[in-house]
Amino acid sequence: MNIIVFIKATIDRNAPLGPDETFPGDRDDKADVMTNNYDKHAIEAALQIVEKKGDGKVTAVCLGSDMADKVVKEAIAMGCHEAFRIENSEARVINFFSVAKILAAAIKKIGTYDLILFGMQSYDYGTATMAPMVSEFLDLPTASWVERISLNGDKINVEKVIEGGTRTIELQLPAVLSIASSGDFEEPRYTSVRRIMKASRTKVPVWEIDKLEAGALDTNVEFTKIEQPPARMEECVVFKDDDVPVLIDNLLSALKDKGLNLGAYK
Amino acid sequence: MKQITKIFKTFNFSKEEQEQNQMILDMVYELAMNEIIEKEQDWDEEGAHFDPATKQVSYPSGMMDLYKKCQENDLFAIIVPEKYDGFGLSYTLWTAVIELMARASLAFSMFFPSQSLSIEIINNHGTAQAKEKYLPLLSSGDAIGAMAFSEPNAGSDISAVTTKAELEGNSYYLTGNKIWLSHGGAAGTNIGLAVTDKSKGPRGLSAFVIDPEIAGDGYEVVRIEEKMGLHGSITAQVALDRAEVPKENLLGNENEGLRLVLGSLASSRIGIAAQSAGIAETALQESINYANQRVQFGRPIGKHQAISFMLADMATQVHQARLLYLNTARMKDNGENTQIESSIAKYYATEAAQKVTYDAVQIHGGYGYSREYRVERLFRDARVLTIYEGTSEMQKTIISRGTQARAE
Repeated sequence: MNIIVFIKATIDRNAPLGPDETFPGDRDDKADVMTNNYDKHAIEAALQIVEKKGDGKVTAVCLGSDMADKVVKEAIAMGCHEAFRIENSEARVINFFSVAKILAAAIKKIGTYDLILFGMQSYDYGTATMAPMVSEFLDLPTASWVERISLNGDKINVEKVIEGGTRTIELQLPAVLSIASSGDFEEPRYTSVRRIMKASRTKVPVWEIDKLEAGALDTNVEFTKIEQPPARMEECVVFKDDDVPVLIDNLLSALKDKGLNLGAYK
Repeated sequence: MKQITKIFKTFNFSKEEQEQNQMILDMVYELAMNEIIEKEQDWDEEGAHFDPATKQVSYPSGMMDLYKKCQENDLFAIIVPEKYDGFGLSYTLWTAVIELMARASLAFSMFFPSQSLSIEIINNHGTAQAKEKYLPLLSSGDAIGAMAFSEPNAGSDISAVTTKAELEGNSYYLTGNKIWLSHGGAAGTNIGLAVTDKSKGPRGLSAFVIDPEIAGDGYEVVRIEEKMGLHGSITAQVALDRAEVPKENLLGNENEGLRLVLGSLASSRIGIAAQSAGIAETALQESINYANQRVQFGRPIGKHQAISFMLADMATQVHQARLLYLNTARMKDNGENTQIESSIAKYYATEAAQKVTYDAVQIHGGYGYSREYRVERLFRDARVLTIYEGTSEMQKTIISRGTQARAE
């Protein structure tokens, strides 16, 4: 079972925002870079599957500048068998469509794979589009926000999160999945001193975008602006009534007036 | 975290070592701040347990689960030589790990200084058999290390121990009472001090590795202490009644135990200074958060000069404490004798922790006195720091004697 996990270097959640920053964007301070938290769940999923199966390997791939070496090494320190980085210095390619093309081309170059995993979204832009886009480019089946995986010969059964519950589907391998931060992979493992020592001695191979045959990296998506949603002013309402059913009724009708879908409540 | 990283950059680590240090500290920070900190209040409320019927001790719920995570992440192997399943990394890194653990929970951080002291004493003074047997166990964390020095009448004056060790055949048999054993009853190794030649006074003491499995019924927990703070950590009183210690568990030469123990305490004192920096850092951060949100007289109290200057003093003391312990640890890594510097670091950092946790309660006002707020626990926990591993007064004695001798 060969699994490819894509990981992303994002800005540390704890890094303070600059005075004029609404979004940390692409900083160049190495200390502020961390592994996209959601990707750790994907690494956990990959490692669990390989451990359960008893054979195979997990390859972590990261598109980023040399700042992302830290993230690649963390993947090895978590237990990934090998890892490499696709050089994207100064964030040359950031539009998602082109990134997906590059990742798909990298998968083709790797050649042998049974599963391709992503985190459910990235911590920064959070578009959650990479897994479905890559699966389209490779013409592979896909499922998003997967909580549980069971192997079934050359197929897999996955439970994916949908609104209000989960849905079980069967996919033909190889397949592309995005892993939810809940369910079986909720607690990604830590790095360990032993694996950190190994990771620090590993030289991270670097691939060039231009040699990947990703096709034309045209800009189909353009960022015009990133802004915070405007602050909403809401009035605090206190409901008072000694009769509890009346109190609940008042609360629910107030919520209904606000436009909340209360299902069976009329 | 960045404060530690900044200081690390001033040390003579290679690029590869810097990277390893950073990755290890990141991992410890995550473990401490995501998981250990969550349990810290529960541990304080539940406390450690002792069952008088079975004489068994246990840690509060969930503590051993997190101890296991430390084992899985190989944390106890950091300073153990590679020959004994360790990684032979720096004492500087080790003490920074202690600080991060103490930031989350002082009680939990108690696993660390005694572990390194056990590792160091056995590695430096143990027989080949003792090293082969105990260092891998301490490295993996399968054995917790404890110190059995203090006795009812031997505290600061450690030379006054009366526990006697009698050699019969291939084993010593130890009889006496030991108190204030952190992890006593739960530990896999206890470094103990006992009289082997009564006629020689302080020069008639020897140090041993007491292995409770070998000592059997001869090693028995009598009670655990109800303490002011550190409720989650076990502090036991242990009765030794002809506790068997095989000859190969003698540390150093017979009758040279006192010098050996006193010489080794210098390094564990750096660890206590690191604990102090950790708990003081947390008290500082709690105070900053509170001072920014608590509004009195129309503005956050942190904007009033009285409070803002307190915060400035606290930040300065925390930084000094951190510089002292890291610098002393680095000196030790460089092979220097740090007897005096360790005492300076321990004395300054533990006293700073008193002042900083005291001020933290003061900044929180009435809320600081309430159990609901963390600073109340920090204040209670911190109190022990100037007492254990040598009181502040003992440190001053060492510093004064040492510097005067140096001047001569």
